Formats: sequence, C-alpha cells, structure tokens
Amino acid sequence: MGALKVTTRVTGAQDGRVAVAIAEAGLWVSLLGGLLGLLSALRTTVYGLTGWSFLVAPRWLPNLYMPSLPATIRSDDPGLQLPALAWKDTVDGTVDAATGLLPVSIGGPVRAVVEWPGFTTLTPMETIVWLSPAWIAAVGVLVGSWLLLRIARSARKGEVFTLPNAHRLRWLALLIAVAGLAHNAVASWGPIWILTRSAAASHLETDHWTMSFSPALFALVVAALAVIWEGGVRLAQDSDGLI
Amino acid sequence: MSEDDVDLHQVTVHLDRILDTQGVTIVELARRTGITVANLSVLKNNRAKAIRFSTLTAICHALACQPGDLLSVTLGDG
Repeated sequence: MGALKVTTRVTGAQDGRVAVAIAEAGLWVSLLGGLLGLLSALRTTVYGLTGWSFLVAPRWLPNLYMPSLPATIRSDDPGLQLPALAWKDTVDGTVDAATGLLPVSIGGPVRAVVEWPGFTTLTPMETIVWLSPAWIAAVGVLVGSWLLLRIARSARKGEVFTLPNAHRLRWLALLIAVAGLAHNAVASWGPIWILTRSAAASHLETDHWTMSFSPALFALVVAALAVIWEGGVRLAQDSDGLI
Repeated sequence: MSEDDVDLHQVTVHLDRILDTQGVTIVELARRTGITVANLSVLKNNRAKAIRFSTLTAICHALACQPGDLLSVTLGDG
C-alpha cells in the first residue's frame, strides 16, 4: 500500500510537470503570434503612411491592396431595392406566387462592403484609426503571453505562489481591462468614423455604434485570481521552513 | 510584547546533540522516521521555522526522547 501511494504521488507530480510544459509551449506559440501580429501591423502602417511595403508586395495581400470595411445600407436609401416576392391565396392557404412554396419576405438590414482603391488613398489619421485595433491586439497578446509565460516558467521550477507572480496577475488584469476596452472601442467606432468620411457615407448607417465591455468582466475575474494568489503567497510563506 | 522581543524568543533544536549522544547518523534517523535527510538537516542546523507534531512524534519515537529533550526556548532579558 505504501509503494502504491508513492507511485500515485510520483505520477501526479509528473502529470503536473507535463501540463506546465504544454502550457509553456502554447504560450511560446502565442508569443510568436503576437510578434507576427506586431510585424504585420507595422508593415501595414508603414505602407499606409509611406506607400513602401517590406517583406511582401502589397498585391499579395488583398487587405493591403484593396482595403475594405463592412457596412450597413440605410433602410431609406433611394437606391436600395429589395426583391418584393408576390404571394397568392389558394385553397390550401397563402403561397409564394412564383414557386408555390410557403410565403417569405426579404427585408433589411442590408450588409455591404465598402472598398478603397488602396491603403495609400487613406489620410494618415484614417490609416492610424484603421490599424489601431491591430496594434492594440498585437501588443496585448505579446505582453499578456509574456506575463503568463513568466508564471509558467516559475511553476516549472516549483515556485508558483510567489509575490512576483501575484503582481504579474495584477498587471495582466490591468492589461486585459485597458487593452481589451481600448481595442473594442476603436474597433467599433473607428470603421464608422472612416465610413462617415467616405464618398459612400450618405448611403450607409453611421449614426450609432455598440461595443462590448466583456474585457472589463474578464479583467475582474483575473484581478480576483490575483487576490487569491496573494493569499496563496501568504500560505506558502507561512509553510516555508516547515518540517 | 514588541516585535523585537518576539525575535529574542528563539526555539533551539538539539537534534545534533541527541544524535551524537546516541551515535545515530542523520541517514539512519531518516530511515527510522521516513523524514528526508534534507529536512532533518534543516532541523539539525536550526534553519527550520516550524515543525509539525507528526514530525516531532516520529523523531521522539525514533530517538526515545521527549520534545523537551529536543527543543528549548531561549528567553530574552526580562
């Protein structure tokens, strides 16, 4: 029975090390993704502001060569003509006049895509507003991955509940709140601002925008985790040197 | 009692003296008690900050002694 208990404890410890190793590998991939996102945002910004593209020619990247934004056509736009399906009454009830199937109607909102002839046709301010979400996301992923990677590496060394890790969680909560809300705000307001300055503005719905505040909720969860972590640090300090 | 006074009230572990008296090595004590050599070494060198009752019981049984033989408290000046 003693040998069985020892084996179970050893296996459990090994499982923990494997889990941490997998988490660390995943965070390195995330870090790499953040770096690539940063490089992509930098390349697009340089191209938009100067017309110079590095690494890849613009024609291979449709979002650079012909940038576009999704939009909604105004429901009262005089150019908007939706198909009007005719119905007819039969002994079996009302049916579609053309097909005889159950009657349906086609209504709005009508989604569209507004395309620009190239990123260089945007003004510098429009370029910055357009690309801000990409910058915020890349930096957020990079910094967040780095913070989590530092925690995972300390866990691999067996030092989980330490004050630096608790502080990293606090910084992570702040990052999620600030970067997450900023990203959502710019990503939802930015395209509408750019569309209102375009030639298609009078045909589009541009008078309202919505954003999600879920990053604030997620940040609260991480902040609560940081408080719990600090409790763990105190417990670890209390048991430090306990034989 | 101030915080400085608490620091003067130190617990001393006399494990090294008892082991020398009985001619028992740390390795042998580890074998008898199931406590690791590393932890016993920490205890022997007075680097431990706390001791579990189960650990105290195991050592006292192994060395046929009482907690008072193993531990003493150095009181500060009154």
